[in-house]
Amino acid sequence: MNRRDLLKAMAMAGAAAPFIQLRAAQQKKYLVLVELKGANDGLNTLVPYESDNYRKLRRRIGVKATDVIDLGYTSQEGALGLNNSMSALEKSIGDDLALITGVGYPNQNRSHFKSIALWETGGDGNRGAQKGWVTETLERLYTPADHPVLGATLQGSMGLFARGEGVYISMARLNQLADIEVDEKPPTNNRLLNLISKRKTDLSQASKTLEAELDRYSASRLPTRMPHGDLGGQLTDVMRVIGADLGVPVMHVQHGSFDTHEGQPWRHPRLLKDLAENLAAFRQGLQRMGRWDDVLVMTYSEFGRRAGENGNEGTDHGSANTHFMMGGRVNGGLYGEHPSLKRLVDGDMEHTLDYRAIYDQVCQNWFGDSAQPWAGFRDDALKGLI
Amino acid sequence: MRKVLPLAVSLILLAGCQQQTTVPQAGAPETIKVPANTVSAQAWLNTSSLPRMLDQPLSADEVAYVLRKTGFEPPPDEVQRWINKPRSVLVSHLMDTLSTDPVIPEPDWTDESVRYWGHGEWPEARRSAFRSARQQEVSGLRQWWISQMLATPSPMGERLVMFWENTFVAGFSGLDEKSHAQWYHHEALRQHGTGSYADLLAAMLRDPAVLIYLDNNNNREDAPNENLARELLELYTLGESNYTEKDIKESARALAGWHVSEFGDLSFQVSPWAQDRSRKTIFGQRGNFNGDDMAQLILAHPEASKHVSRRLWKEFISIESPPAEAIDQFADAFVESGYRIDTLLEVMLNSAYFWDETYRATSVKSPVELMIGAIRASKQATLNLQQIDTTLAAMGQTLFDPPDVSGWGYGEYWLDPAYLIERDAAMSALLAEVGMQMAPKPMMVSSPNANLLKVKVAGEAYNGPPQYQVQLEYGDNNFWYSENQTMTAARDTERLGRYKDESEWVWETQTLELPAEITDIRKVGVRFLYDAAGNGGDRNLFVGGVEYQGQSFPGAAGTQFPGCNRDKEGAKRHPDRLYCAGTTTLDWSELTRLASQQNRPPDNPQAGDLVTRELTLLWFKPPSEGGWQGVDLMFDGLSFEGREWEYFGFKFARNDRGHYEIGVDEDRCKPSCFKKWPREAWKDKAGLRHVSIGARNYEEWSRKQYFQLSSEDKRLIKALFATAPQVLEKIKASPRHREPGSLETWTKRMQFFVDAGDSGSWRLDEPVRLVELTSGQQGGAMAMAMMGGMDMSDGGGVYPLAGGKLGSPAEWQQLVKNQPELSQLPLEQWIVSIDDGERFSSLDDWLRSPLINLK
Repeated sequence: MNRRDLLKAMAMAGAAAPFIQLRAAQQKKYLVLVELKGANDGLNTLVPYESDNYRKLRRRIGVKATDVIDLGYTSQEGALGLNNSMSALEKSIGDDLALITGVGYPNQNRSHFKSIALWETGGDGNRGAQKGWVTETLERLYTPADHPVLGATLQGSMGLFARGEGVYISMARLNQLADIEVDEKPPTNNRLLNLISKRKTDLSQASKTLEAELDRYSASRLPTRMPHGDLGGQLTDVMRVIGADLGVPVMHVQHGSFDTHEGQPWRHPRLLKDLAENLAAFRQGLQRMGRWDDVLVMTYSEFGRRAGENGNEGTDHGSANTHFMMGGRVNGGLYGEHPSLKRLVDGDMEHTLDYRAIYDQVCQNWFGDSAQPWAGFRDDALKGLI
Repeated sequence: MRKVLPLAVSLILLAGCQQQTTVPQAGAPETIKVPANTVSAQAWLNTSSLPRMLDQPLSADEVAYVLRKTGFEPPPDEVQRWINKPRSVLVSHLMDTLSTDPVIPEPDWTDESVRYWGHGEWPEARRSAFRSARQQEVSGLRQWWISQMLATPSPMGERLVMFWENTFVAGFSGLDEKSHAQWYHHEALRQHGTGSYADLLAAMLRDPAVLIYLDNNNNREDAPNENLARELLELYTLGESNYTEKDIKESARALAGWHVSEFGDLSFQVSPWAQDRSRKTIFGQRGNFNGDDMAQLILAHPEASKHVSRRLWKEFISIESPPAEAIDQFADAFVESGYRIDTLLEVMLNSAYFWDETYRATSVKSPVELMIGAIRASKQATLNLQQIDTTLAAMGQTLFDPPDVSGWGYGEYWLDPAYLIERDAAMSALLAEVGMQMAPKPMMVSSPNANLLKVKVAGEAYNGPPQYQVQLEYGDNNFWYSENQTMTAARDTERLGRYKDESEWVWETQTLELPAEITDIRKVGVRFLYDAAGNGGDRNLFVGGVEYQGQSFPGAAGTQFPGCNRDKEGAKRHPDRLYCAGTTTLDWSELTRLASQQNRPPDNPQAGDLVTRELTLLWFKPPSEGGWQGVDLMFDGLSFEGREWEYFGFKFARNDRGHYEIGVDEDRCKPSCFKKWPREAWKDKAGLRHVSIGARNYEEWSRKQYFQLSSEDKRLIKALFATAPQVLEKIKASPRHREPGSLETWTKRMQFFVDAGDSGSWRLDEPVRLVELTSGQQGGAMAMAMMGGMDMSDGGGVYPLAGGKLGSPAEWQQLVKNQPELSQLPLEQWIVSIDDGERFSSLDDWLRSPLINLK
């Protein structure tokens, strides 16, 4: 048992609460957002494998009852099982893996671009939003001294940090950032000019710090070798940032493409397997580093996929979905209510939980943002999640 | 539009599967009323109390400011031209030359049409190739627009087009790959962008792209969709808080049935079955309003003219809020002019507000303004069109695809940290020495008979751009290998991450001159060399297509070898996407053979033939679902006995009483299915007529329907029966039998129709032949050979530049020195009249200054 596990065990025994608090104050917290790009098929991930409705909807691509790990949860569609392509996460079931089901938003937008932008800004089909959903919280809670960079994406767009006022970067661009020419001009009375100047200075300084620190915490120092591949590469960098405790509170990685309009029976299991193996290795690495309690992993995706399969052994864009949350402080289990497969609306599952209820949990219970920006979406279904 | 052509002309179809067309115009709505007495800008100004500009001589900085703010950053010689002239002369010049007419010819595909429907039977490879072809077209359209902006003598015209694109947003990622909808939208904005706002608004409400983008196709009486109604009022025309939720609901009802054609060419159509004909109350007015009425209702709304004025203020004056009285005055001028956009603009340019120094450098140039302006002003043509396109995307502005319906933002929106870095990078790229950059390579054609082969590629760069080699097999076992080619506009995945969507891919066409002895090409291979990948980056090559001797085929029609070890299936599904070192090979002789077979004319065409591009199997019902069971068919163009249809649909069906019948529905034909509909035809709620003709004498009403038809229509029905054997073959070949027994059941049922059609009741005296011009088997290679019509235009990235080009930054410096007024003025004052900044001693300093971002 390493030190972190020891502490955890002591905390559970009710003996070490002060230590935990002390450590929490010193060590930095990380939210790792895993974007399942292309829209994961939640219905073949968390499978209502006994449901007749499911069998009817998924005649050709349905996951067989023998191909799931029973989770011991039941729903209005009967027993639920995890696609056994994700067996690498078996150890986490009932421990630090939460499945949140029925997640969606009103008036589903089915465009990849538009819907992911909604997820990243906290909008819905009735009302868009402009600012990255977590940026206000970060900007409220963290000072540039401790946290020179508030968010980083290891792949993909800066959409998550849209309109952010602090320093947000793309990690793949570190080298590029270091070369930024900082404008040494004195402040002028032009607001925009001053803004440009400030932002460039921030970027330059932040990137220099990160680059130097990261060089010191190289991948070879990590206690786990991540699986080969794109996601593994991204998560390796995330682990380096956490290892060096650089205090980048939000990091974004991407995995996909889950846009399985066709060939789903062979494409989807491979994507899930890849995801599960990576997350399992990530968990193991962070546990060995004694940092698993400081990390919250959360998946998100444009939307779920259509309940009924299409004619190409695939699924089209749908609505409600199932998502994962993992971390040392996550209370594993099933959260939310699985949508009915009988009462579909235009062939889609109706969401039972607004996704912003998860944001509320993250901002309030993970980051401890007393402003509770997403409290309006709070949902008892997520009580005790973190 | 694909015209309905006489049979003889139909045979022109044989020349290829795409035809020359005219662009569908939004039909003129009848209800638009504009004030009869309209006022010119000067007449309005003479009677108004709007603070006017002082008509004094122009200084250098003023000239630069005006040209920058109304258009793009001007070059020094352009500025010089206006110094000391009266302000009014420059304003008149801008207004007199204001034009949104393209100066670069539109891409060919914009007046050809493609079939956006009836893809259900297509194999995935063909669908994928179809999507790719449409994406390539829009990629080409982005580059076309860029070249337009670089070449135009009316930068203000292009800024207005951009302004309307960013107002009536209909981005490509929300158009379901309908490149033609994108073009019609853009063309309508050009057509109406300087003229009557009433016409513009009316056109937008009938615009296929707008209707698709905002889901109005799903807006129908029984299930209203409010997306268009909401964005129309909130974003397009009035602004938030100038309407009620009830206005939105009622507007949605008015817009119900404002649809895009399901069949035939992509065009606006009113679907009677989806219309809501009951009374609505919108903005306090009551009436049985429809979509056309919406334009009129909005124009009559007091906020409409103010909304346009506010938006134009933001675009052409400042992101600082305008004084309320300014907007009131502008709005008044707009209304009095009869909603003339050019008049409103002219009034604005004549106002003291526009010339007020406090508004200088209070806005941020969009990436397009930054980039196009920097190129026009510096006269440096170091980047080709693809590279400019790529650069714009990196700065956050992929043309034709704003991030959402609210469009791109203003001001700080463009100063996002990630964008800022890319803005600097873009200026550096522009300044890079010619030769250091991969400069556009003008194609050297030695003779008009040169043996040319074009290859179109897109790609992703990591540690350098993708390189490839073109490999030919010709004659008997002769081989030719090109030199290594390097992509010029691959996306830098190290800095920007991978492409997020195929529609973003930037395509470039390279033209290779082959040695004259190469003839009889058998195979064309494109080999991706030196694959590379690392954390956060990946080097990949995508093969769009190859053109040789007027014939082009998509990369998707090829095969890939060896494919990635981890994803051999992927190489089969998308042979055109080289994620690992390997080769995409097109079997040129086979594809050419199939394509020529495809275009073989029918033997001795006769008037009694059913001639169509294709009798398309749209859908058939799975037998297990029971009830009414039908095979839904659609002629893509039909000619029969001298009659012509753009499309004609019918069904072979077995009704719930087990009777076999042919069904014809009024909304499935264009023009009308029948010369005269039978009196006994069943009429639905929307007044649409439906005819069911029993294959046997089942029922009295069904017989009556048939006997009430004209003799021509009776022959038509008999001819439809005669298609049963071919429809049976289509059913047999269909990949869409999703349940056991489906094939057998449908074979049996169709056999019934085959027998019936051959019986005395239905057989015509002369046997009817179904002549399909572009169909045949749906096999992969054959289908791919039919793709045709790839956009393979290649300017080599070379473009004309308004005001001319210079060879180097040093030449630019010389140009400045040669302008007496400019060489004596501190240059920073030309750029922006604020503070006391440093002097700009070189083009380099200027383009790298943060000031270049402002306007």
